[in-house]
Amino acid sequence: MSDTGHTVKSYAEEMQSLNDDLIKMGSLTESQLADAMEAVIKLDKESVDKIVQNDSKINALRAAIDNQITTVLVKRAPMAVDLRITISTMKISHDLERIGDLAKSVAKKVTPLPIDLPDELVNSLRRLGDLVQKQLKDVLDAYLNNSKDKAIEIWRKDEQVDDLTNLAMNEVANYLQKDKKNLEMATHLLFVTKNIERAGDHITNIAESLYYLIEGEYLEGARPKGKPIDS
Amino acid sequence: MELKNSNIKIKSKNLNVYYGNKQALHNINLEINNKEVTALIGPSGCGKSTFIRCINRMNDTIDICRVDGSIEIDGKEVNDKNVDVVTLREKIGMVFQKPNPFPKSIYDNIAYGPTIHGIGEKKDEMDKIVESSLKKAALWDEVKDRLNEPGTGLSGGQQQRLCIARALSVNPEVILMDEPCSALDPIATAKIEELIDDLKKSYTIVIVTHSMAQAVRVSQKTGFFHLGKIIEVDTTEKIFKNPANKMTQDYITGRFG
Repeated sequence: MSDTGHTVKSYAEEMQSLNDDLIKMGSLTESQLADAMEAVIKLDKESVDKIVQNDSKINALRAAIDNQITTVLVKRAPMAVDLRITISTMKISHDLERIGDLAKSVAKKVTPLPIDLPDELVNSLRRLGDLVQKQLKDVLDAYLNNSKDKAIEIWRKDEQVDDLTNLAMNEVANYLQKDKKNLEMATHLLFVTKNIERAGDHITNIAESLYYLIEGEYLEGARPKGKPIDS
Repeated sequence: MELKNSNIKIKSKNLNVYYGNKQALHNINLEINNKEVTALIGPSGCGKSTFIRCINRMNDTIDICRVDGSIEIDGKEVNDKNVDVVTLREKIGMVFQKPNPFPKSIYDNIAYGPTIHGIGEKKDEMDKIVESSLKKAALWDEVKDRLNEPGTGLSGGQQQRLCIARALSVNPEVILMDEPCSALDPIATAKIEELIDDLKKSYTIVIVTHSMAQAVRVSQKTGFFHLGKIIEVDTTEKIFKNPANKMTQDYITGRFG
């Protein structure tokens, strides 16, 4: 980003406000995902309502960012780095909103789950959740530090998310095989696992948008993919 | 999009221009592709207009102006002593910021150029030139019933298209446009831009503009000038999405100074 600042002060302020709102949104999304994961791991049914309610704050910020971007586009016709910031902010805010939605869905699944889930299952979800939370934190840090190297690193690391997802899926399959009565719970757990993995995909999208913002080019090559589930 | 280097119409090499003791252009090396629109952008006084005035040797009309270095059209040196300036300017039409039709009829505005170049001596030949020039400038339908009325009676946008038609009447190869839309409203501007899109199929166009959005819309290649130097030249897409030079970025994003 250029450090000289815009000649028109209000333009600089508009771009700053976009940046501030995106950071706020990132931080809210980070807490939502953390709260949702904690609720799953601890099977804490009390916290579900609060997590569900908090999602509307993230949605409201996304709407505010959309609105500001429309104004910037029509008022300023942004060029070069400003154009890339505007486009990337819109994309990143949509990905954050989706991560928020997925965190909410994860939390909602806590309600029907039994409190005596096998440890292996909880542990495999914890490992996956920890990694995805780390990825989210890292991508938000990379945004703050304008670091394309970090963005690439996060993008590559999605492979590990896929691997841990497959392991968690296998745990759910084992749980189901032990007793067919576990079918309903296993279905909920599959959704939880898949939703965490999808949050990881959105983090990868954010890394791509960030790379474009910084470099003006798209990250090349196919996305790294984890190993498929063993049959 | 790749730059097409094999198709160069105009090429300047180490071009320097001085107004008295003041150097207005420093070592300009710029290639302008055939049948493409090249936009020149940069703050006022950066040398864009001085540069395009070198192409048709308009700077000859300024006593204190001195040009050195080379500027070639189709590989031929423009500044060569043997070049006939009138013939050169027949090849290179020019359109200015403010529409400047002659205080004559619409018809005579177009006929003036061909007449002094000895073209279209017969009435029906000249009629054809007038009609085809006005058609190429997308003005014919609006003025065909009032060709004998004064050109100055047209609207600003129509006057500018009349000036473009006038430039086209002598079959030029290059059209230089120095902020052709800065005095026009958005609709008249859109008509000129539409015309530029159409004209680039047959002509090489160099346009000086202060409107970034216009440069993006009409040109394939953009050059950024600053303090008499060319800072960056690239495809228009590259310049406006991801310029290589920080100065270019600061200028086009309004961070200059």
